[in-house]
Amino acid sequence: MSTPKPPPGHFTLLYFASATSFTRRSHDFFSAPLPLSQLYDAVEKKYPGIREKVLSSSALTVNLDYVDVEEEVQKGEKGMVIQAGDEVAVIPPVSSGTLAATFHPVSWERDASAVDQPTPYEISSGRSRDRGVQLR
Amino acid sequence: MNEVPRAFEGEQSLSEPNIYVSLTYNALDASLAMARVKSPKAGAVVLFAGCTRDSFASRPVTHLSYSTYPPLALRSLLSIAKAVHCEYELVGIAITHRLGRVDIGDESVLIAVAAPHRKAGWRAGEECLERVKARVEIWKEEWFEDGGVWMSNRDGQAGVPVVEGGSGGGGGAAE
Repeated sequence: MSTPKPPPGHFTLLYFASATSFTRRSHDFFSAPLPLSQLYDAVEKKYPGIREKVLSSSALTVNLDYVDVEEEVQKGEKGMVIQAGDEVAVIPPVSSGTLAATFHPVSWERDASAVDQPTPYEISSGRSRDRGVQLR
Repeated sequence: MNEVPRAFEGEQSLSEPNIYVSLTYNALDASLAMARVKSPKAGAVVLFAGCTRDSFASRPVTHLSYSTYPPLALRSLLSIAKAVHCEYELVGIAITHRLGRVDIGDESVLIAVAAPHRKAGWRAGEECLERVKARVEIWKEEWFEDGGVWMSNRDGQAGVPVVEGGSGGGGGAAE
């Protein structure tokens, strides 16, 4: 499961943790170029509900660098454009056993049917953009 | 049953002089972690091992499972290691996080720091662990004996919408 190479004219969108649980996939290929400001619309179209349940609490990287999606949306046409061959990733809040940790049980039966990875689907409204800033 | 596909085999690492970070699906080696940081200049080596506990909130845990985005996690680990190395004037630092299934009692993370004196070593080790847990792109699942699977989240500060499953618990967790 090395990083998948997109076909010509496409970029890769990687999913992890709750994003994988929602999409039941580890990645998708999308047509490029695509303005970053339109990415979440494209993903929402493919997976209705994912914006609210996953994307809104996740961070985003483009070629391993965190990007501020809201900021790019505000820039409009001057914002970043995802190019063919780029590797984009949805980064859900990081797991950690701290006092602030929150847990949600998920049934075994449901997850046993998962294709890629039997992760439970649950999310938190994390401060994803703050995380992006921290990591720089 | 629950085997997550491996992103790679063996160990992936990044290093700079006196700084080493890695990810592996294999069992961790505490002696090796210490050996990576030992130096005649270091009067103290502090080794932290995060292990899988056998229960959470009285529910028996069978094992944990970790997944990651390897290149991004390595980049974040290196960034943390460099910062801690600099801030605490360490002689050396090594961080290795395990991926995939980790059984009860096994180590999921090793942090070794070498410092001229013990005080800086203790402090650096603790600070390093906190940063790793808070920031590195590694996601944990807790698998319970009674069949449940919980994915833990760092963020309990804001409201947490429960999309599926029952009510959430709270509090500490196995490492």
